[in-house]
Amino acid sequence: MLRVWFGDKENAIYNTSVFFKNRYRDEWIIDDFARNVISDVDHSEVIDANSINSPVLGNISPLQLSGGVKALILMKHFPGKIFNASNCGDNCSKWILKLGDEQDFTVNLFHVMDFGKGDFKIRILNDRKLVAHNMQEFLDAGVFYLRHEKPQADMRG
Amino acid sequence: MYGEYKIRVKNSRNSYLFSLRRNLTILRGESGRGKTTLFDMIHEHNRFGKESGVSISCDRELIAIEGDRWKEDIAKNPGKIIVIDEDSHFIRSKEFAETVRGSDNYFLLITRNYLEQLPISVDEIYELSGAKNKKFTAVYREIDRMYDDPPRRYLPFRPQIIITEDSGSGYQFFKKIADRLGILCVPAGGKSQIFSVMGQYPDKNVAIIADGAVFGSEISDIAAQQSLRPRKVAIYLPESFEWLILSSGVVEGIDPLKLNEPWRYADSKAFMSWEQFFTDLLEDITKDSNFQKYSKGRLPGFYNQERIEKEILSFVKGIKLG
Repeated sequence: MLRVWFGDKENAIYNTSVFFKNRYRDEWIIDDFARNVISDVDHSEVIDANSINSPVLGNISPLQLSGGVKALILMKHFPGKIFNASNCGDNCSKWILKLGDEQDFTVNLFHVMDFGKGDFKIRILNDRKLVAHNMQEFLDAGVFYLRHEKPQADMRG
Repeated sequence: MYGEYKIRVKNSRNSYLFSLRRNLTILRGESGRGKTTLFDMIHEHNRFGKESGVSISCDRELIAIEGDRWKEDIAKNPGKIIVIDEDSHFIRSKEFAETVRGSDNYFLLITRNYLEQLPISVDEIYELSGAKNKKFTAVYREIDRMYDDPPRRYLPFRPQIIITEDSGSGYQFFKKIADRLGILCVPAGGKSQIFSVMGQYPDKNVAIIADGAVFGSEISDIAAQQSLRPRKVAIYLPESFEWLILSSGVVEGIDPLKLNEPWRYADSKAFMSWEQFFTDLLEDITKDSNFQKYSKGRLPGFYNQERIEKEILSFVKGIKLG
């Protein structure tokens, strides 16, 4: 299940690009998840572990992937760490939800990401009893916590 | 620093063309569109100059800043355009907001973060469009200062509740009109409280009236709420209430250039936002008048006279208030 913490969180990794540069592995770039994410978000094609074909930048290394793609790859391979998902645009949100269906992991957000019109389940860790089931509930929670307010009782469950 | 600056940043694969005209500009949007590439190109140009292969055309120098020494780096670069990428945590700090206040710089911030402490204009939030040739495109679109891109057929909007930012002069002006119309006018107690006040009226037609010159931190969440409540929420964001008064022509003596091209005069060292600039302008031109003398805290009766009210409201085209 996807868990979100709004605002600063101890030990969370804010600068995901630097962490990615120092910790990514070749095999992560060529797995299906990375190939699909790189194709969908960056509109680029993985050639091999060290080479990605970008329509704008030409042949690039994994270090030149977008901040959003790097953060998504880290979320998949370090589910025990908390990464800053505000480095991800709204075009990454469906991939974050997909990862949340497959594994438990936590991200922190400094803005209210748009998770679309469908239903979902996201646990809001600022109040561990709170689960947002749709964008209205998620928006209410995000606005609340990003402005240091208290949770609403009717959103618990 | 003041003025409008046209900027082109270019290498063989990417070209960025944009203008900055306020002290704070936000660049955000989807991943993979080239925001960090822009930062990196400016950074490489800073390090290696023309040898980098990056060309930058602008009347002012652009400086890409990151890391722990950000404060010193800003302090030693007055009169320059500071560019900061999304990996820099410090832009969320009060210290950064204090640095921006009174700074002789323009700032281009690449970020999606909620930044309540910074007076960002709703009109200076951009995303990138284009493939090789990239341009800045405004995220929030307006018709007669009604946001976000409202369909014309739904205007003018008929509100049942008006929410204003605070209980100052703008609230006092709209409260009298609301009383006459038999609708509610509610001060939110600060721009960051507007969302929660909206939540108290989920089934009503709510018009939000706030200062667009400083509403940038809130607009994303308010516009999201607007799209979740189709046709129930209208967002009217003049630059500020003072801008509205000045634009309506009810006080005389304003230099039209100051009203229409404020970037030529709103020095970032003196004014953290155009809201402050227009307040200063209105206070200055009414200071010698007993009945027009403007104060943010208490609106003189002059501005609520029927004739004056009508002239000011003629600039509020998107909301039915008469």
